[in-house]
Amino acid sequence: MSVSNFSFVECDLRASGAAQAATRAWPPSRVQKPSQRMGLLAHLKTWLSCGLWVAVWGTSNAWAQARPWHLGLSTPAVTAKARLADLAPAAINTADIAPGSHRIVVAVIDSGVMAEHPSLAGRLLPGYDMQSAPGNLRGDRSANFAPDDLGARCAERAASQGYRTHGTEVASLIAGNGVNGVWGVNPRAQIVPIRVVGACGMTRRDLMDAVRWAAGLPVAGVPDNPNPARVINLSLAGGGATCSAGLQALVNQLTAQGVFIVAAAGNNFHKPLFEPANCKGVMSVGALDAENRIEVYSAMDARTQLYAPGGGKGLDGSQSWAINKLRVATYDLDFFGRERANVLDRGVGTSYAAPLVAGFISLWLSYQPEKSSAAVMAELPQYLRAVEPHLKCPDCLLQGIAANNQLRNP
Amino acid sequence: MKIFQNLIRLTLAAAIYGAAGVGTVLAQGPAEAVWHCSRANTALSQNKAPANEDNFGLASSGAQGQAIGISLLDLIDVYSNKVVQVSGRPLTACFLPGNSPLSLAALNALGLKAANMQLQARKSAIVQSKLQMVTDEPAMLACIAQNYPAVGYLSQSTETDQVLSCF
Repeated sequence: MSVSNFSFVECDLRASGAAQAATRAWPPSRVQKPSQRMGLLAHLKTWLSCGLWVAVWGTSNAWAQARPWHLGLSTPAVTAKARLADLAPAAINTADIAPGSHRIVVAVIDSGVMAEHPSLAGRLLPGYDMQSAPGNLRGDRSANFAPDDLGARCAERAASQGYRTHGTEVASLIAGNGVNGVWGVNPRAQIVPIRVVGACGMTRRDLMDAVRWAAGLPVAGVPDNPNPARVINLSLAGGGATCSAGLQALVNQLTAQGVFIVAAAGNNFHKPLFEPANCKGVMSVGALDAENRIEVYSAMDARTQLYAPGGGKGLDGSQSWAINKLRVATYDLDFFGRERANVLDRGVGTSYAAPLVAGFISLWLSYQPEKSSAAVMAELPQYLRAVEPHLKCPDCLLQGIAANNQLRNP
Repeated sequence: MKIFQNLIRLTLAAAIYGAAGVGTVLAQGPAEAVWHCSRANTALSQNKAPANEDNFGLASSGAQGQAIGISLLDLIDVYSNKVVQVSGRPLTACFLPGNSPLSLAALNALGLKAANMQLQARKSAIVQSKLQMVTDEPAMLACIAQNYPAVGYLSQSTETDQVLSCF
């Protein structure tokens, strides 16, 4: 379902600028083109529209249209104003939590990001293409973090267009700026896009180098990353059934430095986790449907640390979240086969659950950037909710992530 | 004599089911579908493809390297009779009749109803559909092999020159 052409009154965090004001005005709303600049009058207009929007909140379904269902609400008072039916049981409850004043850098190690998408405007930092020869169809590593060209093929290996848009979609779930309704969990997060997957797949060596570079470690032949990430999102899976010694050592090194590594559990229909999700210290994320049940496709064993909405088959009911797909910034083809930026409810998979957790951690750190990995892990239980048990995995941790007001209190 | 004849019938039936790979599933209880995809034509790309242990892919897809690259959403879309292009070619979705336990398991996982699919497949003579109904598991394997790029489901993981399990 395309949602790119709907319109509603919203107040804009990006346009109003100040973090303090943003906190008061949250949830942000007005969709504006990045090129627009606001004067004093415009600010006043925005504030008035915000007030009006909040006033009519309780009697309209504006909230449901304005916010992706997977974000939900954290504040009971605000929740009472929203229609309860519009709140998905599995939502992570961050829609009304304004980001703190600290900008957190999140690395998205993926298929590359299309920087021109309006819903990512102002959110991207310089990135890198870490895919090496011979798998890199552009030749070798470079600063061009865009995905492979449309229709690119690795010899005869065919792939769908989802391979090209994956990284853009993942980035939008973390830091989407609200344009056309694409809200990231932390719309003030800064994304460092790092490409490791292309039409020819990806290799362990490139993955390891990408993780090193993301965290600010030196990589031979590549200029240092000027914006080391506090959070690294890996919506990737493969390798071995147990974490390799090399990858585990790297994870250990980075987590000791305070870097958070979040990885998708994988989509192997309830089979055990592969790397990097099976490495100790990695926050491995499985997928839930909107009703808080583990999705049928989610990889599953006791090493899954957390669950978050990942979308899947449509659910019964007329609630806005019954669509059970995540809203992402993406690209599709128009009638003439030309690629165009779009916003679609089409996110399905643990690839899309992981960035919700990465965004959540970055949102938390935006209030308390000095927080260590150990402190976050120790305090995490206050932001967990029980997930419906699953017969296939009686020893699984059944923890879904769900914010509350405490997140914004340092 | 009649008991003996029945015993032969039962043995024969068990052998047929076993050959089709269904016997194991019945013995284990509810059917579980294992998704299978066309194997990527990697003759040219093999020298670029890393070994399995070093091979990774996007988590929203189900295979790393050896199979065609399709995502979970592609799977849902193609069985919903939407056209899914895989490097410029339409993806074919092979499926068993709606009363097959395997079909029920596979399609239910995607939130689809097998009966609706049969209807859509029948319409395919008029509207170009890429849904192909097959009668049994050997036919399913053949359907995936002969309709590159294609996807389908079997009761057990099976690997041939042209087909392998994915997801």
